[in-house]
Amino acid sequence: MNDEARQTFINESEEMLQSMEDSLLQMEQEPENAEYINSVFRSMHTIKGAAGIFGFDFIVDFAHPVETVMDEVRDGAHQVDEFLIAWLLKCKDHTEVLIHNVSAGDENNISQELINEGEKLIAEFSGHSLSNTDDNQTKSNTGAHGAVESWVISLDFKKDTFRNGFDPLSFIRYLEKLGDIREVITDLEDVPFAEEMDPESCYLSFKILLNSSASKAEIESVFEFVLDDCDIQIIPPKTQNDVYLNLLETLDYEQEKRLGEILVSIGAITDFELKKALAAQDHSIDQATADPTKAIEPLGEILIEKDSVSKPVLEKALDRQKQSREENKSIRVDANRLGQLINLVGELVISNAAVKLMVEKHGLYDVQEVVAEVENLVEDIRDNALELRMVPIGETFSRFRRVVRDVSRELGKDIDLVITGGEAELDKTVVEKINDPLTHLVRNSLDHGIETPEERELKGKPRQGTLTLNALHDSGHIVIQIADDGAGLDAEKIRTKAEANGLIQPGQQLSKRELFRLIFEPGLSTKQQASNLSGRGVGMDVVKRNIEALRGNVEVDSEPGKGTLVTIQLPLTLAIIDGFMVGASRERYVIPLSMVEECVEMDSKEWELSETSHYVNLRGEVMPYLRLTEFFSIPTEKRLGVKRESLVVVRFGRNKAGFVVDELYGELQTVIKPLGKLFENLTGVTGATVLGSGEVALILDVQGLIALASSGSASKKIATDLAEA
Amino acid sequence: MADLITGFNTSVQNTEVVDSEATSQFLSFYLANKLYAVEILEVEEIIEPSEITEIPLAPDYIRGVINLRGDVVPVFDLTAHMGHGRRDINKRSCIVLVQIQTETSGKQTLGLLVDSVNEIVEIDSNKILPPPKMGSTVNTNFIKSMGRVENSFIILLNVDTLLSTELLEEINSLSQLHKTEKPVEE
Amino acid sequence: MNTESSAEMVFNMAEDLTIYSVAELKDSFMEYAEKTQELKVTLEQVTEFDSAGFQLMMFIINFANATEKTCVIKRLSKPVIDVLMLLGMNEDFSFKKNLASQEASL
Repeated sequence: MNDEARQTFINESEEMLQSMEDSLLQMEQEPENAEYINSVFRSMHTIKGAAGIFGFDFIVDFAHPVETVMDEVRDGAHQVDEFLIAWLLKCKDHTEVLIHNVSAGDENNISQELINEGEKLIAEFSGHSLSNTDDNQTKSNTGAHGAVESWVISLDFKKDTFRNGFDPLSFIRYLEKLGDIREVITDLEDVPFAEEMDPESCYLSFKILLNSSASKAEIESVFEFVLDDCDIQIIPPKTQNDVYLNLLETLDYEQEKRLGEILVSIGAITDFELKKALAAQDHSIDQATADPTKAIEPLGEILIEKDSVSKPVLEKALDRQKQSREENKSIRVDANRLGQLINLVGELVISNAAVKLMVEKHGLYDVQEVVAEVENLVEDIRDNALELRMVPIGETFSRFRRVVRDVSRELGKDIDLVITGGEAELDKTVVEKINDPLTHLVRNSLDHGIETPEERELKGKPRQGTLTLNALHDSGHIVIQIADDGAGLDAEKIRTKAEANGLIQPGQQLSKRELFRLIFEPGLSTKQQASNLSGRGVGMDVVKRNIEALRGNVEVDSEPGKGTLVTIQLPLTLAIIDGFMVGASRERYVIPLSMVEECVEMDSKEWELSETSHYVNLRGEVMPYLRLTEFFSIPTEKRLGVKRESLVVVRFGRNKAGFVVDELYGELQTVIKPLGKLFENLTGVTGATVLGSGEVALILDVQGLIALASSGSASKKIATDLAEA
Repeated sequence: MADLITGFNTSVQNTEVVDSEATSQFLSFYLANKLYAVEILEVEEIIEPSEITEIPLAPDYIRGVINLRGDVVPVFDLTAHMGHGRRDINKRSCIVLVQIQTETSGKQTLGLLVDSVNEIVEIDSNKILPPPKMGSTVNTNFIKSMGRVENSFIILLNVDTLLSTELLEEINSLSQLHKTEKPVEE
Repeated sequence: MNTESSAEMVFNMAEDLTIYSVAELKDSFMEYAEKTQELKVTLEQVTEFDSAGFQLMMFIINFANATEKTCVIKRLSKPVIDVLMLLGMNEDFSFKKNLASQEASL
């Protein structure tokens, strides 16, 4: 077996195990939900299958009995309980160990010990289940039967049925050929009982319970000729719903299908039902176009309304549709190749800028249009290329389920992990680097934040603590939040510690935020008794450093007794961004466009600088500012003759500031080039980009500059205050 | 991947004349009218200084960055680095591109701005002397050795130490200084 | 053919109790019903019985209910019984509570 195939096996197995773990943890919450059982089964089955192909018998030998147990669970022979979940988690871990042997190249050298361990694990379950199977069996045998096994066919005949030559009774008679009619309920409510009763009109409707192995389409075909004269509903038996669910489970879609097609293909609805539902949807579209307040009804809802399909089947079908969409459209690509592509796109962006420049320089007006078109295309290619590397953060989040589960057990705490916003996407390269800081923050919350159930009870809080991971997009950034409803930060302890460490002067005036921010300083931990999990205050400073290295930002907020909220802001990508170029003296700088709030041109009725207090007043809004030429000490002899400045208002998170610049050049696509180790910690600059002209322009560190602008004005303000005093 | 078959057992022998009286080639250049040199093997290419983008708030021996075929390459002002202050760029100024081995981040290309490039000189190994201990205006860290050519000495520079850890720290501390000067307040 | 016996006033359903005859049969039944409080309907002659016929039969029962007349449906023929069996009414022929009695000859 070659290395590539081996790597694929390892990668896929690891993914499978991860998804197995996720499902197991979900199962803990919703033991009744068959979806999770199926998913666990699928994972184990896939691993076993793949291991079989590659000849890793030691994996097959272990996976097989596990799969068997899962199969029995699916059949209801075993109950989904804590024991089962714990056992399956152990099996998952053992499988992981086995796979690690493969990745270490030890597959021909599996120790007997390891195999024994696996056998012991399997035995553990059979031992447990022996004592339990009896009552489980009886449980599964009762209840499941009864009316639920029958089809329910509702026939509501229209007035003209008789006149059109149809005899409803003949259809019912024909139904007998398909199965056993268990009951017919004849509804005579609609038959008038006086003169107005027209004996040639049909007032009849029936509800028929039919036991039959026929498909929905076969049953419907009985009424094929009368479809126009009769409203028919065919509701499958409950067992049949399970059949549909299973079909959906096993169905392999070669290509993406539409919801209706999926449902028809498993027989959950018939063509006719689909046609009718589509017609109803068309109608609702017409209505919606006529009256925009009306929403277009989704097909699924129409089908449910008409009782054509049961809710679980519909939901499952929608789920599968989504899945098959993902499965079919995904293709594994080496991350390096993607990186290369993105680099090339970067070059393309720069070359294109060069072309544009040449065209302008030589006044080739007839070429301009083509160049503009190419530019649009390049922009699209850029966006697409970057999107290739975008992954939802949800996967990273759900990895913490296990951490939360294990850690809370270890600490004797009861903690629920709530994940929201998992669909928010960001560059894979960023995701990889955020994992460590995130782990640290989560562990901190588990360890120091959330109290033990007893403590919580005393404080009048629910015994179960909640840890929330949330993500959302905000102006070109992703915001990640880690929130807990624990004890919160103790501002006084932080102060004492910081004073002891010499971080602040005793009695120094600090706002709550500033005080909390100190936890990101080296050597600060408020928990007296440090556990082996979050260490001893080592790390929060590393967390901050790691996040800042990604051009991100971390903030903490807390309320004593209520909880702690850590907010991380990160750029979506580290490769190419939309930039805004400004000039200061002869130098050009790029500001990430997402951070630019607005630009105000030089004729400055709208804004006013206060040189003494270092604030700019823009239409009544006061904010700190920086004059780039001054700040970067760009020699004055380089300054252009006439001083006509502009103001660029930038924003990062909640903070705003103004940059005073000499020139506004406008937007440009900015390929971020690293400045390398040498300039890692430069002030005010985070990277560089190559312009169309071939020159290098620096990318401003807006976040850092805003902080400096605020502090600059603050300190100067204090200075002026003092001078006045 | 298969190799290209080039013949039958006729491997090409790289005949290297190993001279006991080994000579090395150096590229010599002027910094503030003094002659310096770096080993030719370390030099990648010599280019005319194009637009150099200055890095604000950086020490004076960091001249800025240039675009080298799409990559952003830092340029050191060697004259300033050797303690002679910055010189204006003129027609004779050159950027010598060298590849250096850093302790932390592998190979990196670095531009060295020099006043003018002189020539390629061959120096016998026995004419290469250890660097002077003291009393030089030059930061001795970067001096590998002294080479004697005819009657004058050339200072041979060790490019790898240009990006030494100490230097990186120095640059970092400079920017840190800038930050701590203004304590962050709300 | 419906015959009305003067003594008992029985409404005798025709052989053909189908869509082809129900209109006519209903008219005669309504005439018959006006004359008596005790509706007696025999179905023994019915050989053709379809949904329209069944509906008419059910109408008669409903009608009796609504007009508070008693109603006896006598002597069901084989085709009628077949239909009632098909619809599961063979055992349970009491559609409305105050339906006086049935002589479903089962």
